[in-house]
Amino acid sequence: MTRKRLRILIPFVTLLVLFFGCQLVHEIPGLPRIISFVFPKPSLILKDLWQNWPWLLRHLKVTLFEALCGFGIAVILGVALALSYLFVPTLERVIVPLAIAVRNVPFVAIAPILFILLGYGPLPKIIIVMIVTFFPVMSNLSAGFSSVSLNLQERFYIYRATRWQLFTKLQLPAAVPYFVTGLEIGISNIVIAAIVGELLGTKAGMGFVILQTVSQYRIPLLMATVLVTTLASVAITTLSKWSTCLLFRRWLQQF
Amino acid sequence: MRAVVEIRNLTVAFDELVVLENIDLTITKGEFVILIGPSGCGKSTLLRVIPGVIPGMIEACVKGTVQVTGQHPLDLPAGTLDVVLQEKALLPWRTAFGNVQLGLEILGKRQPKKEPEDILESVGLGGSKDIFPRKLSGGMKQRVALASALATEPQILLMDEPLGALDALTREEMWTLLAKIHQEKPDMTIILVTHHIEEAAVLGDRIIIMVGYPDKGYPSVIAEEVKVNVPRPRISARGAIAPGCLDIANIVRAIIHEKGGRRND
Repeated sequence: MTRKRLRILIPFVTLLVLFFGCQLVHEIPGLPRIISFVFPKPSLILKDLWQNWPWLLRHLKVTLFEALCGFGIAVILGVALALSYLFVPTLERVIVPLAIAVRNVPFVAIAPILFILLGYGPLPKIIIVMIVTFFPVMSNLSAGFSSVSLNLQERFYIYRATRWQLFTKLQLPAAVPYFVTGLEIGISNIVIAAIVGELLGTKAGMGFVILQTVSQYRIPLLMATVLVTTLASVAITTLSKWSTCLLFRRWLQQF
Repeated sequence: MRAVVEIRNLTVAFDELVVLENIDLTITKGEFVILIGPSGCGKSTLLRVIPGVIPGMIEACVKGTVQVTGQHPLDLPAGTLDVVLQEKALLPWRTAFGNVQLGLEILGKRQPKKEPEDILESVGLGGSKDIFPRKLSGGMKQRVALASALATEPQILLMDEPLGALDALTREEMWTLLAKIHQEKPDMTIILVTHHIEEAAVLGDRIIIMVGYPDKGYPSVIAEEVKVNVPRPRISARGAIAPGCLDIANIVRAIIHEKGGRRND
């Protein structure tokens, strides 16, 4: 068996073993009922998932919309801020402390303000996702711009390169791997950030589903929700990794 | 011969640290000049003053006069000089060919006298033009860096310990290559910084010996100049160094020991 096939097969086999292992645990005679209530049979989870799929999908779409919109704005904002203080270095003293402050404000505290101002629709959650994810994009991109060796900068200086040449031919390509890392860190948090935003106040989305299932003690459906959100998050992260690798292959492979 | 670099009474200081003091140096067109001295004595600082990197890019207090091809370094037109550095001198996202083209692109030279392919060929990398730096050996990387600098056809080529990270055999191959380039381009002035004494004797027309320990409060000065009147080629195909060069190397070594022995003062 080739190494590649093994790499694909191992996670599937692990999942199957876990599935049947959990299923078998429930067959142990005398197992306390609380255990079967809190950790329902995997088959029950799958059954609830199947029965409620259209409802879950509708809410998943809302969460994904908020997460991806927030991330898109975060990328634009992060890139814009990093570029602004690359070209106007004095701005760094203003932008970086502000960005750190915004990043560290507990969004649980600002969420009510956002809800009062913007209502319970997707906009407050988009803003929460943006707050959580713009910082790694900005700081990584900025670190990439600064990563250029002094030797190379000296060469560009000796050539009397223009500011634009220095940026396009040196700083920007050098920053690509850092930017991609920033995207990966950022995107791995977007679904969870959107759901936490929804948990604080919403009418739709996976956070709403979680609130509903918990209040009705529908633990198998709650687990199904967790499964769906986890899979969605993994899918987004993997897709993003593939697409960035494809898009920036020329720069990423050569380091 | 016409002087291309004229330095008079140069003193360079970084804040309180005076690195160079009262340096006088004249380099004529087509000369292969070596700057040698102990580590940290300011050879690279002196080299960076010539293209105006100090103080144009790296802030420092520079006193005295520096003229390069009759002009102040900061007024030099682009393309007058080029540089080969010890490491991290290539753009990792560009192929060998792309790196050779870099200077031409920035300078806007669309029709160079010699095509980048031919320049790569001349440094022995004709078949490696599509290879990225990470797949090149240390010696090959330095050949690409050299080809990249040669592509811009500079009047003055500055080299800051370009062979410092190479093994002995590769270093000897590079000596032969540099000697060939010096022979083929008699109008190009080469200024090379090294701490390898034999390298200085094999390559240079003149060796400028610098001594001093700026970090210990002794700014560097030019201790002596040694002319290398040994006919070229100075290294055989099997890597044997001409006896005359070895004699020069011993003289240089003795001067450094004699005049540079202030480290433990």
